[in-house]
Amino acid sequence: MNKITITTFLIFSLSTLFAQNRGVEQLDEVLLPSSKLSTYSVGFKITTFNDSILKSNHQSLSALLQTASSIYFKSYGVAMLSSPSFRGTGASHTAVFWNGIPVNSTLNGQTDFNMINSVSIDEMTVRAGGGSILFGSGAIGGSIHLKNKIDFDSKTSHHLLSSIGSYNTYKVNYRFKTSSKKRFTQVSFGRMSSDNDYRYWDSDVYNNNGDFFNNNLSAVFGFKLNNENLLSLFVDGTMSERGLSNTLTAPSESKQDDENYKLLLEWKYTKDRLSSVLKMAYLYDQFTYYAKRSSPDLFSIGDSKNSLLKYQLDYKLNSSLKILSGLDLSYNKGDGDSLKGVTRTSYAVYSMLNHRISHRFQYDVSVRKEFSNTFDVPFLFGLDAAYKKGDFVYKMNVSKNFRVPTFNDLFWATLGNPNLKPESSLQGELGLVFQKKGIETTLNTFYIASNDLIKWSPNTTTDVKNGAGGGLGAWTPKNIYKAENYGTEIGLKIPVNIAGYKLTSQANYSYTIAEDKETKMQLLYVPKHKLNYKLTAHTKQFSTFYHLLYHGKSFTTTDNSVFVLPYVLHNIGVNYTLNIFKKVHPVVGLQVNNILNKEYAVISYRPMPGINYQFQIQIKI
Amino acid sequence: MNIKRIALSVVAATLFLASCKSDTDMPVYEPQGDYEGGILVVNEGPFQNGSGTVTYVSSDLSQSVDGIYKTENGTDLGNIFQSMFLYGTQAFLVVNNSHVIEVVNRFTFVKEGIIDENLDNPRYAVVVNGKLYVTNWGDTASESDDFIAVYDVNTLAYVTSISVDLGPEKMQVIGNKIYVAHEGAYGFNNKISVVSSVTNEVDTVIEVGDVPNSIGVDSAQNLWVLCGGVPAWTGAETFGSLHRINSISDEVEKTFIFDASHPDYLTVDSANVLYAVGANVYGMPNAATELPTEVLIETGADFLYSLRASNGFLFATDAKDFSSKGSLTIYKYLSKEILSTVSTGISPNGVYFNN
Repeated sequence: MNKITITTFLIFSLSTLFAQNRGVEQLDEVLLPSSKLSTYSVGFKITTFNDSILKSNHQSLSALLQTASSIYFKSYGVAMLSSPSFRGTGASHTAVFWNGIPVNSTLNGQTDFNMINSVSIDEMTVRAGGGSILFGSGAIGGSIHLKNKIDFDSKTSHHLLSSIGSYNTYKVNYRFKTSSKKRFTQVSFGRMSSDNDYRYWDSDVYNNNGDFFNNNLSAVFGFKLNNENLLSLFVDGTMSERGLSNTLTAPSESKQDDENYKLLLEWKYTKDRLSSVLKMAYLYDQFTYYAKRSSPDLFSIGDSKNSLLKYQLDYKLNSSLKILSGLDLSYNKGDGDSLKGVTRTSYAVYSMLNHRISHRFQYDVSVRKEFSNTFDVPFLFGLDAAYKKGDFVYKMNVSKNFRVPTFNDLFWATLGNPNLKPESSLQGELGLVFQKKGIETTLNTFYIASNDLIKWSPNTTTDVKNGAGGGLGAWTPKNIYKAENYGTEIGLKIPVNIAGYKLTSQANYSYTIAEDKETKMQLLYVPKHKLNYKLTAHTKQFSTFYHLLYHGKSFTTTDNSVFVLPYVLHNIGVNYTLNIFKKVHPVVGLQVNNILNKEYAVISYRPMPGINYQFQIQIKI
Repeated sequence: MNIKRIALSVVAATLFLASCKSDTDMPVYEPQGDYEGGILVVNEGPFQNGSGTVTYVSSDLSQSVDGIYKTENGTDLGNIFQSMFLYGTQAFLVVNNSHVIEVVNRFTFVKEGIIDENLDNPRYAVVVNGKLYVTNWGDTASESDDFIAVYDVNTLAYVTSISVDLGPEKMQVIGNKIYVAHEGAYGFNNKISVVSSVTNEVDTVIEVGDVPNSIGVDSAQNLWVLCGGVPAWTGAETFGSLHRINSISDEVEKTFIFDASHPDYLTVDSANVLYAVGANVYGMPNAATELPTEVLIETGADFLYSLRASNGFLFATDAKDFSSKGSLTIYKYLSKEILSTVSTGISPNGVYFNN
């Protein structure tokens, strides 16, 4: 990061600090309790992105999280696989939920954020830290919760967002919402397509196999049977086709088609001190991979079908004690060219207690036991607490977490390793929150010790001696390494009013050490330093923003001899509300990404685009 | 000067200076480039996103410099650098996943040309009678489009393609014949094609054991073919075999069978035949009637990835975990003495002498 950038950052922060004013507008992201997630997680750092920020975000959800949280994305390209990572943990150590249902792929354990269109959700909550007790497998680094909201405000609205951008990128999102006092209906459609054929820096190589499109159709229905009973139905379907980008050194002609369908029926009963939620869900994911587009007859396929039943009972014993108990049942089935009809059945019981000793101090105790037909899952426990004094909140949490091996790890034809154990982690965190006059700062420091981590690697002589199947040189998954992650995250948010402008300055910095415990080398692709800064300013009619992202050097070899260069990205944008019609007020906007046309890549040899533009129009009725 | 130093100079003298006579008779020697003499190591590079590299090891074996292609040309070599062939003043660098052959001056490593037409997953190259022969897997999803592409070595012009059986890989030239080992690409094969460099046709096909992974010729002009067998993970495991083939009759004269092991990396040093099983190196004279039972050298490599024996020296590369820099260790194999270990690039798969 150069001096000018740092100076700019400091000046912005300081000027906003000194110009501090009272009574500012509501912030984009709030640190407020949102349902059970925070009731039983008082000692955790939880950030919620509400509907307006999701909908005004010109880019993908991954771009939003990249610029507004400590999460970083391992992104193979504009539309390629992009998986979130917390605190230096792996891509499958972030659990992602859709309306409370886990959606990480049964096949590879990850969620590809380029397959999620923000039009289909109303709220995104990011919870840093281990959450396996409440959320199950995979919530080691943290979890991301995508939600739809149901309200009975008797309003009808239409929301249309359309954009056109560089490389023939087109986006259309439309949402219709209507409700009465007892009925709620919302239907959304989103489509994005792009040639995505940007030039790879100053080389003569172009991203000439990176074209893509994706379509999403989703619907939410709510039926308020009476004051106690709410039935809701959530449906979501996404299909996409994308070329798999060439690298700087290797051409590509391959392509992948994906289809994901989700269905959830939920029954919520609330009366007096009791709240009970029953969820029944069915998820279907399918992919088709073509090694060569020109040979459409040669392809490989894979799919997974997941049936889930979740029941939660929340009971308030008295004004200071609450208990949540839950039961999860799941049945997963995987099929395809590399997995032949493999299944897994698991069930879990968990219980959490929230004790509010005073208005200053509360804590949670939680336990979980999961059973599966394929392996033993460790007994999990957790403790977290929050103590408020003056403008400060002190937080702490400790927990044990796990991740089950994926179907690919276990059952991949002839190479999978059915003897794999679940990965496990023990972690602790201390947090400090300061809130005053709209200023908010957070400081979190964490430690995660992970065991039995799974890695695919060619069997070495030592692996063979240790009993790895498949023989020398066979690429197989093994519970092969231990990792130690520790670091610090600092968040800062300062809202001010200057000359009629509402300004918000927001920054996140994270320092992350993620080491192989044996070699003491930093794990692949984990940047030690990451910083993002965001300045937004708006009046009633006009708004503008500036984003800065610094992504530190990240290693691409296990001996840390080769790395991807650090980069600084700057994006800017403006939005203007047109008052030319009486009832409709379209908002037009322009966003310029990578304004300095920096050459950068997240994954080595996979360049990201240079300066690019996006023009959009948004209409709400 | 310690023993090791002396040993190193012996290696240098034997390997590289054999052609030099006494200083007094010779005109002042003008080096043809920074990389003349010494050893070149082919490093495949990271499997997915990255570039292969060439490591230069100084002739006294004490130092190594990785990435000399990029140093001299400013660009990356390409993805999965499979092999190299040295001919005249040139080196032909075969880059599998980029589907190209980079042609450089072998002493300066400055790029002189490129072959990027009629290649599809190129693997190995040899030069015979003024023509460059390149084995190609073709489309890896198809098992019937494998071929050998032929180019004029001076103009780099495409001459023809010779259709061959599945998975052509390493080649050995004896006279006008090119022996092509069909390891099997993504599948498995058990054949040696004999291609005539006069007619550019497959003259005959010799059946050998499963997965012929390495090939060599001894001082008596016998062809040696080592087969690794089908690996265990396939569920249809077979074990290794070693064949001695008469290069006049093209008949298999002797077959050695391995019990329950998968040998690899055959290397023939005049009358000595060496190979590895796992990280252990075995050796025998070419007249042996049975396989050796005693280990010649325990390399202790995490992942032994290539062997080359020459003039009593053995060069062994270790690819380690394939995600970090590998290493090259040089032995005097009869005395089992380690002379030097130097660092290489990622996944070092072959050693070449640049003299």
